[in-house]
Amino acid sequence: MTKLLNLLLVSIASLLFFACSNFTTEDNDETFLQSDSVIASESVEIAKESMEDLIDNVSSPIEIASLLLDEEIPFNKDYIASTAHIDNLITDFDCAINLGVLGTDLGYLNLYDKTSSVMSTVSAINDLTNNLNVGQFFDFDLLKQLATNSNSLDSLVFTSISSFNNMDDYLRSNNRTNVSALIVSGVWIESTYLATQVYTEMENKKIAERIGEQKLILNNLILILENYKSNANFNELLVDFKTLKLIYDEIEIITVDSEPESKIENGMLVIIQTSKSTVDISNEQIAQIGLEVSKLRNKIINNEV
Amino acid sequence: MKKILSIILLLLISKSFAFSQCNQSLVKNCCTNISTTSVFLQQFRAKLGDTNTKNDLPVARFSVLMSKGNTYRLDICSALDFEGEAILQLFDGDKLVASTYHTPSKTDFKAFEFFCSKTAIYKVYISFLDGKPGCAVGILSMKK
Repeated sequence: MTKLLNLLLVSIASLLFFACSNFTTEDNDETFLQSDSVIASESVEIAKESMEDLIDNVSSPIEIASLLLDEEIPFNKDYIASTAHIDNLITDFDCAINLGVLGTDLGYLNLYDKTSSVMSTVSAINDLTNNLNVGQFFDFDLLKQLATNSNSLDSLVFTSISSFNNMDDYLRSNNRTNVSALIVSGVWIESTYLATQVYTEMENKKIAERIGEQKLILNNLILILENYKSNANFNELLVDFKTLKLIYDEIEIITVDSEPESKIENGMLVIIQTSKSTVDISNEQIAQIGLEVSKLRNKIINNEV
Repeated sequence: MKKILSIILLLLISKSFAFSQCNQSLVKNCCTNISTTSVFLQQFRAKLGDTNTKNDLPVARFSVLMSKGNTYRLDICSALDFEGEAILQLFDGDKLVASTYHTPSKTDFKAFEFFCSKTAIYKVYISFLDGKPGCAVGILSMKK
């Protein structure tokens, strides 16, 4: 009985220890904030909500990488941004946009299971998040541990993405939506760069369509950046995005709507959409986008914005 | 001794419920529903208060870009320390595409898969049955 009691006491001590860790400021286990949508009576809040809505629309840093993997496109380390320039980044602007670029690269490396190459990107992200005072959302020891264990790929992907999501939530709830806007801009630039680089070497209809679909996101990014254009750096980025928009304006996305179908499969509700979308994009347009995005990316990673 | 053991057991049971508190552990807990063939993409966290009127239920709204050719999965998990049972709905514009709750049969699926054939910006709404106060997390994942 004494043994059982000791065992139970040890169990309780362990549980209390882990329970307490939920309330430390060092990890990202913060209690949820009340949703903004319920306090939408003031015009400032509505504007903030709309802004966040636009930021949410930028696709995940791993979606393009996932498409490349699905299409059996071989990994190419030349697509990954160098991290040599990170020490030279000082301003929040440069750190945030480069964080988006490297976040996308991290997703690409993770999905292709290139864990041995992850460490320099992870270290660079560590530096950037510390510069932005959001380092508490990244457990770098855990990331390093997962990166060196080939059986932890799913955990590595989850930890990376959830760290980014938690940081993003924190930035927005602390009136640093402008930093979030720059991170998603960096994600978009690097994702589009990746897709156009791959397409240049290997034409693929699905990748072409995905490049064209970036029109939806670009239009939102322009709306977001318009809010911050009084800042010279934001304005310069906005001008570059508007140059890209001129190309995208000629690309047409055609949608045909119809009713979805549903079924139950192994107890799971499955919805099959029957609406369609097609993208009318030419090789020339993709080449133009690739050229402009490369120029913009080089400015960012060479710290020229 | 029996009393001590009862208290200890009660504490242990309380802790297991506390796992689904309204914080990041809820996200982690909800993510355990995702299969190894899916990749986690995004979380939608909603904490909504009580309402006085049945006609204007509080809703947390989110946007998400979904790409054609992908099969997504949306899960909803409610925090056990709140009364409200969460519902997650997916909208394409104003049109309801899918919901974790089927009103006519009162079936709560907690999750659904969505085969996307139209790239667009979709809306994710999280609300609570009968407008009860609640805390929930929606998880978006994508089949690899």
